[in-house]
Amino acid sequence: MELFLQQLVNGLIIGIIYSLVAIGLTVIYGIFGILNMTQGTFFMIGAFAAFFLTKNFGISYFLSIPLAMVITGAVGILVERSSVRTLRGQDHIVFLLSTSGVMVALENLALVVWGATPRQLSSPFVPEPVVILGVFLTRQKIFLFLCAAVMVFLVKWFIKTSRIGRAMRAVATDQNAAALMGIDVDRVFMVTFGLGAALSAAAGVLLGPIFGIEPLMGQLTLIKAFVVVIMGGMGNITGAFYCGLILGVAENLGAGYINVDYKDAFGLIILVLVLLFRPQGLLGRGGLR
Amino acid sequence: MVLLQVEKVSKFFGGVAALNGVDFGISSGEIIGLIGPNGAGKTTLFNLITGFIRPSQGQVILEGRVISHLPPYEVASLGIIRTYQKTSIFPALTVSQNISIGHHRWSQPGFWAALFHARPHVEERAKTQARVQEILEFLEMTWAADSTARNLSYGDQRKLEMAIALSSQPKLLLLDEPAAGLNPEETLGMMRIIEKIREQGITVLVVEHDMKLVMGICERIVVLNHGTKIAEGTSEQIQNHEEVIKVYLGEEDEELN
Amino acid sequence: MNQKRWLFQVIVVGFILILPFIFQSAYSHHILVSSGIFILLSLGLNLIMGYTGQMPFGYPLFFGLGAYTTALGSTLLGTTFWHGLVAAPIVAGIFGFLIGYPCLRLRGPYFAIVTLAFAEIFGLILKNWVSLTRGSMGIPGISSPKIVIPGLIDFTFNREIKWYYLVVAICALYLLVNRSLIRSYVGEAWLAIRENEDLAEAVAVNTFKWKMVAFIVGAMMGGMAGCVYAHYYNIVSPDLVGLYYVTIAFNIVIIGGRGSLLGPVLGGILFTAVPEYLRASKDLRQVIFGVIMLLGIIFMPQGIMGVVNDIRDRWFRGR
Repeated sequence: MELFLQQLVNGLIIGIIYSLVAIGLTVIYGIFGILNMTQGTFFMIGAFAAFFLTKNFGISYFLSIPLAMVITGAVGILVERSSVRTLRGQDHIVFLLSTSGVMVALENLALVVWGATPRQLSSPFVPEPVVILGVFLTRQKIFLFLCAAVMVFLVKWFIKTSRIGRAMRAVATDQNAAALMGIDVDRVFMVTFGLGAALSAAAGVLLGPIFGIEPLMGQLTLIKAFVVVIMGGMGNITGAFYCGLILGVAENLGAGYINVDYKDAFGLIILVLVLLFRPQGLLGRGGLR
Repeated sequence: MVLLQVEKVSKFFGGVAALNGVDFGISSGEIIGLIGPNGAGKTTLFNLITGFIRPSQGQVILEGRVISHLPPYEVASLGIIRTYQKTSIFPALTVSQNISIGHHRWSQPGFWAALFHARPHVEERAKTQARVQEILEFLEMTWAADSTARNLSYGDQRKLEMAIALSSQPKLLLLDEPAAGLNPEETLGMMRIIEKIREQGITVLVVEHDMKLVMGICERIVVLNHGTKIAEGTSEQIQNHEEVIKVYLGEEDEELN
Repeated sequence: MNQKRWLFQVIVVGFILILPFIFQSAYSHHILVSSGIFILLSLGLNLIMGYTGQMPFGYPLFFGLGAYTTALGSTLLGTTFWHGLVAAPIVAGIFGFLIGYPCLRLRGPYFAIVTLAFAEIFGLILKNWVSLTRGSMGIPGISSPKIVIPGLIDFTFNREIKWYYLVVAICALYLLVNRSLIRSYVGEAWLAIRENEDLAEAVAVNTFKWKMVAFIVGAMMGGMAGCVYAHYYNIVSPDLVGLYYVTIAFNIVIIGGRGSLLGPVLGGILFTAVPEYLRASKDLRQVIFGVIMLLGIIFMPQGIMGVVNDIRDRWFRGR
């Protein structure tokens, strides 16, 4: 029972990270209709931005979170301008290649600059474990979960109520109609990509202190995020949230009870199964919600 | 001999009935017209017969065999070939290449024969080329054999569509507005082509708005409105049919108002 | 016209044959061989991309399958390169069938990702099934090919220049197979699918079957390339299924030009020879490749061959 609870909690914690990254991905899909291969790169950039800020500028970990989000958001907008907007109107598959190109270039640039050895992103929380109900936790993990949960809630609220959020939903439903109604579709595109990047960055900063950061940390996360998005339904934020948690829990229960080496494979197998048998996802369909 | 039977076919999209209990048969060697105002369900019916969509109710029967559940490729290999309203050709290929695609329905030398250019491959190539030549002559398009399809004029592209469909040696040819965008002279040419096609033993189902063509070559006409069949008969019967007149004249009235 | 073309081809072939004597260092020969291996890999990818219009991001899976098949055979069973040359494409082909059958029904991006997922799963198996594959350390000690007829010939492919001609021969085989298929009704079906898939289906072209054929043949070509890699470098590792090879292969096909046979050849040379000469580090090379992929997709979607064809068309029209 203790193993079960422990793995369950571990799963929820890594799961909410998957959720954050996946929400960014699914929002981008909802608006653009494309699968953004740079989503994992933003995860890494966020973590390294925070690393850079805390190490070289002495900025506190807590402040580095929003700052990293802003920086990465700006990078996201740059990516959108250079590799998405320039190809507007073309077949969706083209974006897969262009964003892949950006991903490869940026991640390997990070390799060239920082090398492959993992760095430590320091946070003010002490690493000693806290035990609640027989489950081992750290303060960082608790902070991570709470912070991420708040962000998910904020994003959902933002998309539902703010003007830009409504504009985003309109563009996701019908781009031309939205343009005819006077919505600045271009601005929506920029905000969307920036938001997606920022969410991924936040996830990177939150997870960074726990496992260390290295230039290729985004690769596996990207694939996990795809799994979550496809499971939860494209453009479905709530779906992405829950399915992220589900994936995290499934991975950790699998690691605990079946085989820890193939932990990452569980998500991949789920991906394959979902795509082959229920490509519309377990929970949803189109638009943005 | 009944070739195709559309048996009480209905198709619902959400709550809307695109087709409702449509029922008629096509006999071998006939030229049947399918008319009706826009939105009457003619294209839906075509898509249904050719396997792109399935009926919500009812069935489609080809020579006694139910085909309603078959995918488009299988329906086509059974001999039902269609053309499209929007010109559908293979743009970057030459006219000859376009037409030779049709042979896949009746001549498959096999992967290994193709790889080693063995005898079945060579025979297939010869037969296909001969057939392409025949069709080019039949449609008076030999001059265009090596032209790139996308460079042809609109009228010639529509003829090419016919050529591609013909080269697959269909049993039943479904023509979706073959005269769309054609001037009166080209339309007469199209009518002659359709009659020549029937002489080759091919059954034809034509969807058209051009009444001259429909009344001119169709032995029987089926009229759809809002997804239901409202009339069926010869061109005279249809021209004098009360409801048909209402549907078409009714439209004119609305325009006048 | 035909005479001029024939002459041109003879000159090209001649040039290829004497290339190792123009660049004489062993290092240059090594570059030629590794370019050749990448060309083999890309020709397979080119077949799938150019003729089914799909992008299998997981394509290096077949490369790795072929390489590991022959690696295991060589180290565990003592099989030779020649066995591998037959076994690797068969294994790759079987997996091509197993993976293609469910996946080819999917649309573009989903197909790309699901193949990537399969490749990642395979990579995970390679890294974790240590008892069989030695994990990340890879399998070294793969034999070099020999031709032995007792008393007559005792020939080992142990120098780069010998490998060069072997690779050229296999490349020629690939080109022959490709050309043969493309000029038959199979190639016709592929073109029809590429030009207008719906119409092809409507005139009874079995689009699914021909897409499967392209996928399986492409997979087999990738597998054979893996076998060549394994016996040339004498070691394989799980990296073979990784992003590095994915990027290079796709760059080669896209920048070279999809759907043409010359395109991947040009691309292969460009993407292996040039970086080698520039002595760029592997990571820096990847940065440049990434940028090139992005720029290529934006400015040259038809690749170099596309540009070449454009120029040629315009030149002929101008006359």
